[in-house]
Amino acid sequence: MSVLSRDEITRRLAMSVDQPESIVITPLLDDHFDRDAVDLRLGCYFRLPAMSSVACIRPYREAIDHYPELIHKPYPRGHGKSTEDNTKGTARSELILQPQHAVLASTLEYIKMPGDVSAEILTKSSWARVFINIASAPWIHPFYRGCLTLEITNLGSIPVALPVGEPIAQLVFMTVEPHEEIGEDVIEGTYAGAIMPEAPRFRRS
Amino acid sequence: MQEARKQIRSEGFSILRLCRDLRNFVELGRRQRTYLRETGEFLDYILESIHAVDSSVQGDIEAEIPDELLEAKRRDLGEIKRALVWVYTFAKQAIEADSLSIPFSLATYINHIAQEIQRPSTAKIVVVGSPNLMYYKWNLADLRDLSKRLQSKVNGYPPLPKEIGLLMFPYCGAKEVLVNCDLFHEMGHYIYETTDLESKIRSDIGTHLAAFIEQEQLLNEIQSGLFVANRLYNYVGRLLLTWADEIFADILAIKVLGPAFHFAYLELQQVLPVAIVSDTDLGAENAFSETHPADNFRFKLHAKWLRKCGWREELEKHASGVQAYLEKCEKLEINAFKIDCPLRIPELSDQEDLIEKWMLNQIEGLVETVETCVSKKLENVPNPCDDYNRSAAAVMTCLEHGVVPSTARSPEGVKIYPSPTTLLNAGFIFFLDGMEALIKRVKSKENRIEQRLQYEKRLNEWLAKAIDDWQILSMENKL
Repeated sequence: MSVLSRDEITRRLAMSVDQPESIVITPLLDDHFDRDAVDLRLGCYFRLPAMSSVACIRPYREAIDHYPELIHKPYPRGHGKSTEDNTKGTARSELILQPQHAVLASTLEYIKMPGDVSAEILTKSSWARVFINIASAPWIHPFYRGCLTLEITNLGSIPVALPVGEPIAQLVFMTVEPHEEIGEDVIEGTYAGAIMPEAPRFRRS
Repeated sequence: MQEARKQIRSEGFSILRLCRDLRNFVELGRRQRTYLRETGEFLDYILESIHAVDSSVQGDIEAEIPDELLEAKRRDLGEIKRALVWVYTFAKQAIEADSLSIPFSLATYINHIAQEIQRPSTAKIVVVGSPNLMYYKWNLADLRDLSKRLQSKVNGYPPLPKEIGLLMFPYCGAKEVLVNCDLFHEMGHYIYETTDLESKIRSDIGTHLAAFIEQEQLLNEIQSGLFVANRLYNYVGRLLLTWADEIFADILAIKVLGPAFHFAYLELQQVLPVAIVSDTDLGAENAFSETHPADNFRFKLHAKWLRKCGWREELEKHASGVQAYLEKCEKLEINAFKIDCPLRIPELSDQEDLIEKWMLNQIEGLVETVETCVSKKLENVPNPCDDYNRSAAAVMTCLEHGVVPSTARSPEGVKIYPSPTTLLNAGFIFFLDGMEALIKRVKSKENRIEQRLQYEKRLNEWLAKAIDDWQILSMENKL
């Protein structure tokens, strides 16, 4: 298993989507990647557990009716402009995460994985230093597509504002070895194609 | 007099209670939910109105009102209370229209395109849910009149911003981007209000009707000629203006968006599944009603403008049934239609057929006037077919592979950022003609029906996300 380099990621990004080796990352707001990873931004949708509305989650037993409610924080207008422009009449679009609380979020970017590559999503190091952890199920399988779900937890002791549209995670791609014939592009996975964090669907195999 | 003072105090407290409840309701909603920027501004207006009424009424309760003004004050308070009941209705609809309860990406794009059309003026379109299974533009004229009246009675009462429009959509369908393409037609009604078309049409009707009455000697035998002429003018004017508004909105939606509007209209009428298969009779009307031109007349105009804007080949390729029906409609002559709106002027009952025939002939001239106005309004708006021809194939390839088509690639590997209109047209055509290809790629344990429903939902989500992404890329100057 080897990590895909910046050049290899760029090569695969330029492929047509119908090629099974292609990678899609959209919208791609910054073409300048690290040598071995791509930055991903915080998306606009969250699911925040409201303690009072969930009696108990019982996986496999019943439908989860009272799963954390969806919250929408639109991408901020004026994002990316100077600080002065950014504050003029623009409400900040952020979610405040209390200490020891967790929220489901998703990346702003929609990803399509190639058939011969897996990936791991990691917390950006600056966020780790304010005790934010972004993923507890960080592995992404070949051929998966969708906005990646982030299980964000605040492990620290003070509240932290999570700003929509800012880089929060890094994606590292790795080839699956030994190399096998990929075959046709397929869409598989329980949450394939999701654009926001979805309620879990527990299924016995 | 003492009684009157007591009554004013009591009315005043009743208004203050209503203000308090209404303010709490709106502020709670604003704290907990997120809104379209334009809806937020509308809610600000409502809060400012409540605040002004609250301050003014508190002043009234404490003031020593001279005896001679007591009656007038009582009347004012009555009007303020009636106004609050109006505000109450709008506040509820707006507060429930948070960003998760409306087609948010489409609503932001519609505001964007309305601003492009209205430049250098602004446009602020608030989209709210309606309990009816239909789309419409709410007439804010009553609220505007009320605002004006209250400005003279209540210190600091804000004017309703003139650029605000209120569009309604069926509230269950917030996530359906495709069928909500009907909102482009409602945006057309909003734009219509900002033109001088109504006064021009009124004046044309006056001239043409006078000539018609003269030529046919319609009123010579009638003693109360002037009275009957006025009634006839009102009848003709009301109908032609209503139809002109609808024709304007249809042509604008076709020119700004393209076939996605026509498909959405068929879907709303629940005839799209039939239309797509063949050109069989859709049960569409040939009769003009009190509120709308005949469906087949509207389709005749859709056909004309879809052809003029260059969509014909694409429709033939992917929706041949729809195209064949449109061609049939385009060939219909005006005498194939009728007017199903009783004249209700007994003095002219013998001439009803003659008047109907004259009105139908007027419609052709009316269409020409409307078309000229729409074209002038849209002279700086690009034809959506041009971007479609560049990008649609790449969009459909993305959709077939389950990918949000906000950054597509040409066969040469060049990045393409399809416009929202291309996304909607290609998305609709994919919905009609491409779903099987997508579902073939899906490996899951769900049965075929579940898969189909799941991926129809996904298709709408991907298109909404792609429209959002386009707006983000546009804000970041990345297009």
